[in-house]
Amino acid sequence: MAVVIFKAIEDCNSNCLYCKVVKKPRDEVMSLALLETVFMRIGDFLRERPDETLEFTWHGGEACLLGADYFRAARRYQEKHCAGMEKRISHLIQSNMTLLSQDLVDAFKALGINKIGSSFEPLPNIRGFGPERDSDAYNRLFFKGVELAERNNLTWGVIYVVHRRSLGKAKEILRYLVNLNPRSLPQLNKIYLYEEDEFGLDISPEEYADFLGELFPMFWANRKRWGGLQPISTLVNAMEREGGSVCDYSGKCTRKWLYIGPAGKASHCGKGGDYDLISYGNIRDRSIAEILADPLRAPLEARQESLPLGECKDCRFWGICHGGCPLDALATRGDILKASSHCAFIKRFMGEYVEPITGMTVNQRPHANEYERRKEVGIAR
Amino acid sequence: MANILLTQQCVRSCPYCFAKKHMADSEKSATLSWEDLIHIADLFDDTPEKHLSLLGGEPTLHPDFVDYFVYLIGRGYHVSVFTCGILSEKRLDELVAALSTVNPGKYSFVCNLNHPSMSTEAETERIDAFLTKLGKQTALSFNVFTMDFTMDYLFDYIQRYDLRRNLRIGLAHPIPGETNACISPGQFGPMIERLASYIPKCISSGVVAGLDCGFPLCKFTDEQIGKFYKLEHGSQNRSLKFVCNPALDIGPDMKVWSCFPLSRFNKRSLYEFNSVDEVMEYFITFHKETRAKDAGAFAECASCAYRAAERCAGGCLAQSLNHLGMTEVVFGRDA
Amino acid sequence: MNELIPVFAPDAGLSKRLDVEKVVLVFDKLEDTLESGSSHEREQSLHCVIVREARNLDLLTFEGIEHALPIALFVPAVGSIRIAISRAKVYSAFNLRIFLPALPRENLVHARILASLGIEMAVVIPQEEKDLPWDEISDLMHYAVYSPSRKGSIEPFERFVTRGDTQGVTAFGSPWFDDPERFIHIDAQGRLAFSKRDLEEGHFLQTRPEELSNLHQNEEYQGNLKRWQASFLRNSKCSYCAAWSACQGAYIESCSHDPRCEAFFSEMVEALDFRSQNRGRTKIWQS
Repeated sequence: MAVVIFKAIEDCNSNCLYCKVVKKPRDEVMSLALLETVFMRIGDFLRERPDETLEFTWHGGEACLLGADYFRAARRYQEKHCAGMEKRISHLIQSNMTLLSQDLVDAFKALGINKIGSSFEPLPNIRGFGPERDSDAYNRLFFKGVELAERNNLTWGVIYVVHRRSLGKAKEILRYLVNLNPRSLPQLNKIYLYEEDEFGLDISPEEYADFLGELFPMFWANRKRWGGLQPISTLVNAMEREGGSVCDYSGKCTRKWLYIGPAGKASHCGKGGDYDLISYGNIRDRSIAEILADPLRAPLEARQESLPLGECKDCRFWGICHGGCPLDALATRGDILKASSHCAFIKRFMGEYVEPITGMTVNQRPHANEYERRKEVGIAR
Repeated sequence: MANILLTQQCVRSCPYCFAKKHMADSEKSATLSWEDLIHIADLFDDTPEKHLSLLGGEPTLHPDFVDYFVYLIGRGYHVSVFTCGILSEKRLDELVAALSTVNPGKYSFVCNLNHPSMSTEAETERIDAFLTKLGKQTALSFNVFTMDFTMDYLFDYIQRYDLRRNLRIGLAHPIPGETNACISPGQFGPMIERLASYIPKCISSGVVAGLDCGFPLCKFTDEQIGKFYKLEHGSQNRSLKFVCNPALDIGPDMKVWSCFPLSRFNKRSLYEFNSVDEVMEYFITFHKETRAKDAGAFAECASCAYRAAERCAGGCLAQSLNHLGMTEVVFGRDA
Repeated sequence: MNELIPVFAPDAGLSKRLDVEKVVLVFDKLEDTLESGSSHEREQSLHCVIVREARNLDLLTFEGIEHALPIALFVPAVGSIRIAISRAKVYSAFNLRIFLPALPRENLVHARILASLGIEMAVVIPQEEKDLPWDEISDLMHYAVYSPSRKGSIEPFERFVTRGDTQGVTAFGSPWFDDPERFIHIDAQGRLAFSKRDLEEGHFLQTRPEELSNLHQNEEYQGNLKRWQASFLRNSKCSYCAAWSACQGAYIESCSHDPRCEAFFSEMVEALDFRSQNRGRTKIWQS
């Protein structure tokens, strides 16, 4: 499955602290002509690969600023260029939901969108409108959006960005988010800052580990209730069964992921596009197949071969994290071939929380010989 | 099946009282709560006998005694109340009124009747009132604790109040580590002989005398055994046995132990067990372990064929604990 | 979404205005159900009758009451527990649930006694009360949920653990008809309210009984259903509570000065998890 992170707009109606650190201009909106080109490229890609599917994630900025007509146009282009292949395209959307309207909901549904990924922040004045980040006004509109979504049978869930002000409040924050939407457990992601930490929000990987660690006893004691809590769930599943599903830890994003920005600029993923970490040219000029086969992706593959022989050679958590996100390695360590800065998080979270509490020991060291590695990978109680 | 102690308080102070030590060690004001009573009723719900006994102290002193009594009957239990028969007028009237609509087959009273010389006039008056009103559902209980005992007065009472023709004969047992009025094992033979002398009176009065636990088989002559057997045979209430199956006593604090004389040994909370079988298994193990260390009340118990064949327990386990010098022991599953 | 069931005192005129299949009829006295409650000449079928008695249970006789009539009998107290125990078989013979207020505390004990005798029971835990006996309520809940003994069920615990939503929120007060997604209360003037309390305090919905069948689409109704959002907008203590899914801020009066409230509702959530794999029986009209 190919994954398209699609940012037709980078502007947003909110002024969230952790987005504000991205300094690049945000005023561009993808033209309808270019939007049609995107769907034309998708049509070509899928036509040449009858067994392939494609996940199309509407990102932003705030995608709702595009307006319902924009989504209706997308549907028209999809019908035109991907006729007969619509079922192989699944649309998802990331939105803060504060601008949701019935018109937008109808347009989303016409595209097959039935789930909204959102974000929420219980702590005041971090997410919000205007220079003061009016979280109260933001939250009121958010709830209206929630109400509208639920009335239309659209499911929704939130990503919570763990930052400095969240530290020490893990249980509190989780309870709030679960109370807000008991049907969908939140995803607790670490804040990524690759530019100046203007507001002092950044946290170390170890602090992130401690944040999740505070929640781990509760997760482990009742997995029936908390089993879907990300990324803890992914890490524990990886510990028990090998292999992770979150992109950061999968080691398998090389030929699958594609970012398309408002001007058609192609990169590897959201992180790559937001921080201009890697460029695969422009969708105007290149087909999706060409972008996915870009030679710049080769080091990502090589990384999965080189790390087990080098930096990660003796790491018993290799099978869980696979060196972490390559784009993060590039941003923080200047070398895509290195392990991610997240390494410290994995080691601390697994070693100081997961292993002592579960009584399990992870032994998923890399081996040059894959067969031997697979034989030895496993969990020893 | 089990004896529930509703309260630690008693209106009497009998010299042989085997609950004496337990009551002295317990919180006087402790009374069994409704919640605990319901738990007991739930736990014993599946036992085939569906029988519970209410004890004390004096169980009728519990402020909710009548309600508890009616409740257990409502739960389908047959309930026996062990009482000294000294109830206030108000309590007695309350009890009689509550029982007026209850099937008498669902309950019985066992009145522990000391020799009249041990009671004041006022006490005797209350006992008389009790037996007058509830005598038809009451059997008497008599405890042997001296060698010069007499039982004649019991037959008078049975006759006068038309009491049930069953007589429980208990043997006062020693309390390990304590002194109470009881018969020493060396006097068992003459004591049994004196008891047997009342058998003709029992027969002529139509009274079935049943021996409670702790009598050792070897201290009966074959003739005495035969007479007691004939007296009891066919009775629905007793059958002559010399073995000991742990009786369960449950205190107002929900502690459970096996028999008053052993109340300080292996006492546990009833809430630690999931079933009656579990409780029984626990105390049977305790009894077996103790008897493995000391065969019984007499030296010859160790080589006795009846003891080995488990036809006789060798007297009360309290005798063994006395031999072993045990006054405070906890052993068993959590030793 | 289920059809809403109106709760109102018998009123033939009102019944005719309601386009619903089931109704709950409210009476003040048990004997009043003799005629209206058991009559089958109604516009709608009967979900159950509510009898809000001022008399204690021991003073009530059930003479002439139809055995099959589903009765939610609210009494202030048991009165003589001895009399109630002696009538246990009588109560059990009816399609009856007896509701006692959680105060005085003695009612909690009496609820347990009667349930242990096989009678379907409920304790009503008032939201407006500050000093609630949470420890005793918790104790009763443990008996109701965890004790394997044969007994009558005890609400609101039974419904919560058998019908509760492990992935969502559950209306704790549903057994006493305080559940706007299931019941709408109507007064003699035909005014609609979310609960008996709202009805008494004059918080009415601006709609008519005729609209009841479409109320789920009504914006005001929907808005009222979202009243819980206020806790999150205010960032109130409730929004951070581990037991939100069980209480939804309903017991804020008590919770604000007694931490045992949160502890109790957390235990309720655990009980739901415990029982979610092993859901038991509940009489249909009481579900």
